[in-house]
Amino acid sequence: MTATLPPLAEIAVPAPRPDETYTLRLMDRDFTFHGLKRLLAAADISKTGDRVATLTAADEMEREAARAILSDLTVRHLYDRPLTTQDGRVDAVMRVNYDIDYVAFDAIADMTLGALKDHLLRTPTAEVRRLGRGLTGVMAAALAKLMDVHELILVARKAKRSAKARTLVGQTGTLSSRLQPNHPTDDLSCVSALVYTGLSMGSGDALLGINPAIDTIENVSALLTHLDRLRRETEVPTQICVLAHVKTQMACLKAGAPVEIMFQSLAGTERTLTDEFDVTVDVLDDAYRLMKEKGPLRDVARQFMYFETGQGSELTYAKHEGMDMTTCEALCYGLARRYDPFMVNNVTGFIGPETHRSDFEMIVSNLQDHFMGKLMGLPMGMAPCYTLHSEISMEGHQIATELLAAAGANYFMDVFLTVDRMLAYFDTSGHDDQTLREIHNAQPAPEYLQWALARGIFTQDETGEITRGPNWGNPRLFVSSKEELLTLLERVPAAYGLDSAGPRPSNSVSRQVRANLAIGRQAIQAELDGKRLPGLSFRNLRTRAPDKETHLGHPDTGAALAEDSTNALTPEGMDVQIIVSDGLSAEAVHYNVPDLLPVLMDGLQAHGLSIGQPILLPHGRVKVAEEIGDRLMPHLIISLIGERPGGDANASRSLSAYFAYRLDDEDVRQDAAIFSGNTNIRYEYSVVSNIHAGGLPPIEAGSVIVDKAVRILNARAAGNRLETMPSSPHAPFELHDKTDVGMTIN
Amino acid sequence: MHPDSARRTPSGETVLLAGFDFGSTTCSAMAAHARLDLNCVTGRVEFGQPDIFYRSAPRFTPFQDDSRLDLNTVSNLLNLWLTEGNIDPTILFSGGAIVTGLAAERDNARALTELVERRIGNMVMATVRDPVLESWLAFMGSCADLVRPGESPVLNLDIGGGTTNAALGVEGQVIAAGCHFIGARHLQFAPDGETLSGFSEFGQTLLSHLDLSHSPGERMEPDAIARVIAWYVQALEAIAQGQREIFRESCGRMHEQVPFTPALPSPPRLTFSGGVGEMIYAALDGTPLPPRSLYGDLGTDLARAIMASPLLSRDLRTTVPRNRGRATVCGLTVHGTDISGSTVFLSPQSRLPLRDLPVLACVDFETTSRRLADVFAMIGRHPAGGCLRLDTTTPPTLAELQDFGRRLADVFTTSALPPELPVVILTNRNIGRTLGNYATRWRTLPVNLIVLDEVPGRDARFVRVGRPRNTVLPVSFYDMNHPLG
Repeated sequence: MTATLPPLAEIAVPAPRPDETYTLRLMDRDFTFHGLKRLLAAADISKTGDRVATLTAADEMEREAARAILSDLTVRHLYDRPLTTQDGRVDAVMRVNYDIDYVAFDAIADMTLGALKDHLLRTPTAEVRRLGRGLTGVMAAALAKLMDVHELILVARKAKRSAKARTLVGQTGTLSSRLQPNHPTDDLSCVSALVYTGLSMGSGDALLGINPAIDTIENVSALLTHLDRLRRETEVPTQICVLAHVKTQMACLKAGAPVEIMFQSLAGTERTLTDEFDVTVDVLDDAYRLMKEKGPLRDVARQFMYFETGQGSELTYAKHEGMDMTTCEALCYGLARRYDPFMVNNVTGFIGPETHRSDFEMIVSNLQDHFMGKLMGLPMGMAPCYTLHSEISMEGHQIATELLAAAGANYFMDVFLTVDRMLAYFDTSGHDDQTLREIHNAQPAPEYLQWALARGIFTQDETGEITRGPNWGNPRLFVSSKEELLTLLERVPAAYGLDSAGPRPSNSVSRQVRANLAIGRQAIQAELDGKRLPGLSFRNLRTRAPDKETHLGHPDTGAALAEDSTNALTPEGMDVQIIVSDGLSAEAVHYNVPDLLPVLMDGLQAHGLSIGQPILLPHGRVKVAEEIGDRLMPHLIISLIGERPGGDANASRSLSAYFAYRLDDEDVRQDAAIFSGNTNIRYEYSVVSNIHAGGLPPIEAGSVIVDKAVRILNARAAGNRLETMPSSPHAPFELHDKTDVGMTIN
Repeated sequence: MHPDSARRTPSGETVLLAGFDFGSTTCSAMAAHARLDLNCVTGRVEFGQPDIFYRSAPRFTPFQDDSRLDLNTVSNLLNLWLTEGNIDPTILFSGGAIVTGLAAERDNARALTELVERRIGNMVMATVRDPVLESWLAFMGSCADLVRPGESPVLNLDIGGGTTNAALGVEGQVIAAGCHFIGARHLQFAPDGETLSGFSEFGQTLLSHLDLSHSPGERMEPDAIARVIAWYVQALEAIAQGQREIFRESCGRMHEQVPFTPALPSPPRLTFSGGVGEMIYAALDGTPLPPRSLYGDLGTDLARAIMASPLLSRDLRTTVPRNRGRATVCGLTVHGTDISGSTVFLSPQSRLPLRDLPVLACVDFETTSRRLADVFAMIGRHPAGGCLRLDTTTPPTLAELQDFGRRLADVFTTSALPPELPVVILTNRNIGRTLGNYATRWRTLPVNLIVLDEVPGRDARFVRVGRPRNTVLPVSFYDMNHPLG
């Protein structure tokens, strides 16, 4: 164990200084940058998130001017100027970043960043690793912005770091994977099927790790117990983790659950970390100490903490303190380093087009992240990923993995057939991982390799070469019968087959995967077309998103009405106002609303409720309901809106009904404020989701929505407050709708 | 990996299931926990992998004499099973009890089911002389895993002491079933295994048919036994091939309780369950067949003859069912109850559970108001209310559903059924809530309508509806006294 966790107050940080102005003349143009944050941001490639925050350079010349200035600044110059919060404080994350190796720092402090970059390229591996410990996140970010693609790969490769739990992950010549058997409802049969499938492909040597759908102590403990059982029964040498909130995991560990690896998502600013992730440095310190004292692997593992990061989270919460995405990301690594983690996983691309729209943005960002993390001494694994509403392609994703494998990434994800069934995004698969191992001549972790060789998953020829064995890709290996395997596979969504062609999925399987992606993309790109809603009468309004591209890239524009639409609305005081909007799938509207809306209208009218004329609103988001509610003043707004498509074709046509209950009565609002803890609450939300032909059919959904609306209006409450209220003995018998669980607002 | 390893699903709710099987030779009990979980592939709430936590040791079915079951001993057995299995009847989600084979022929077989219902409670479906249900349960208990979509059909022969229950399954469903009085205990033997100690009326008829004149107390020569077994094997081979010639002459006709007349486009895979099936697969696994004297019946002879038949033995090593000897009780425990969809319609005055509800009609979205009025008149004559099935091969359009719902509402209005009389509509489509709303004019009609959707079609005469749990209701069908399909 190497982490010492010095108290924050004992970490020396120079006093903040006023921002300075940096200038440069390039050809006939003068460039001026006010403050280090601005300079750092301008030196980076242009990324969507930074553009939205107006941080990027205006053009290539300005970018190169910034890089030139940065190159001439010394490392000490950055050290002496800690980046501060908007109110001038050095926050806890920044402070932790200053917990560096001063021997290493002193060796480079007076080098310019340009000279340090050259030194890192020239110097041998051991020196790179040593010097990295002397860098803060800001310094690493500055270097990343001076590096080109070759350099990001070359230096990161030198800085390769390993870490040891049950398996040793990150040795030169290895490429490991975290098996991620996620399921939308944490179905253990599906988890088993995905674990068996992944193990049969040689995956999971870094971790068997589930993102839970339900973050409760009971559920997380049950998942941990199940993973532990799978690990023991298959005898696979690896470690397990359920990626719940760190506080949940601590409670699970205290209750005796096998928390072998402790996980938490990190952010690069304290405000994001505390306000949005509900974590402080003190909480992380407690988690580390608890694991050191009680973790099941405390006598085996050298490391046991696992962190996940990714560019853009601080920015999407508007809590980036004026820093660009790359710099914020590097600060996460400075925080992660405090705990000498077993794994740090980067998921840049996960958020969507509001931070990274294109292949280029995603690929370069991933290379930067990997470089920064490795340089700072972290055992970086990479999860370059994308959502269907970005422009990032599978090809771009694969290019990123090839480059990252060349750079020596410790591990990738294994998400079966690239589709995460819970999080609706796309990542590397077990097929991808094996393909990368074969292309880059890499092997799994040594302990795992022996286990896999013994089971015919891999085989070793007389020359010592490791290749796929006769059982590679055959999960039947781990079950007693074909029928048992088929029973398990019946619970796996988006499972198109186990057939392989070498390390790749067979063409027929790939075609199904790609066809479903195409259907999802088409659903997102389709424009909401009133002509495909025949016989329905709407009033047409507009949001501030003038087109699809703006709508997808700037979520806030879809959450507000265009000025002319705002002006067209005056108070009507109806009971219910219905909004139909495309959200992230116009096809969801086209395929569901013609059957759903007539039932909904019939039912609301039958209950004697007054209804405003439904609104058709292209390029809309859920939150626009509040502005419309404020203008029209109905008691309840029902938004019928397309969900974000994932990997399943049916789900690409999936609609949700969001209920926004307007808290117009002050007494009721006070109750809601007390319940939620939000003193400024104005609306409460419920949701009925998964409306499509293969889920809750639209005809049936109409009635379910009616019943929910009546219940909300009678109870004068929505959301969790409604669900905790006893049903009226006179109310229609109603089974609780499973669809209420897990509400998110897009 | 043992399938039970996946038994603790963290979401959903655990329910308790139980089954009690009283057969010609033995009786047994089983209990399981299963989670009700949303299957994200099918979009339905389904039972997760059941955790069968209690399997009673098989007991000889207690007979008082040749015509009656010993109900006192049955009562003691029930108590024993509930205690051994730590089964709390008050929290049962669903369960079943079935009296089969020669036990079902006893005069007081119905009293046994009533005893079970009194002891276990309303959540148990108890039935007797339900041969198609027996075939269906035995198939589901042993072969449900073998007939997934894309796999060839399976014909399971559940051979017990009194009957052979045949069921043909494909794509997860039983599509044909039959029942024949072919079993181990139609001839019974003294402990020496050679002296005939008794026979059933079917055994006696078969001996006459074969010109054998043995009476109880007389030794049966091996040749005589071989002729009996040969006839049984010939009959089983006929069943396996969908042929009925042997059952057209008088002896065969008597042995045929429910004809098995499936369309068999290609030979199905053959499996066996029941006591005889258990012996066959045990023998294949290396356990010697017991002597005839052990059970004092023809079970061993039947097992040996089936294994020697090229036709009947062709799939023994390649298609192996689960549960085998416990197939019926397993089917009863785990598969005997269907669960509804999660958006059902219940009127405010609906009271559950409902038991012994007759299925009175099958309707579709084209059914006229006049026909619906006739059906409602029939329901009105049943004090327990009635049930209609609404099964379609494709989902209705919105207009079809609205029109049908409005016709139902009109018929409710004109038929003047008592407001508390249960009218249950079972449909295989996911339309329960909306159909109920239109049929009751959005709950304004004073009727006791229940619409349970996503319930698979079962060709049964009675249905039982349990109490709701975790958004769904248990539905049990029984009295399947006619062939499926």
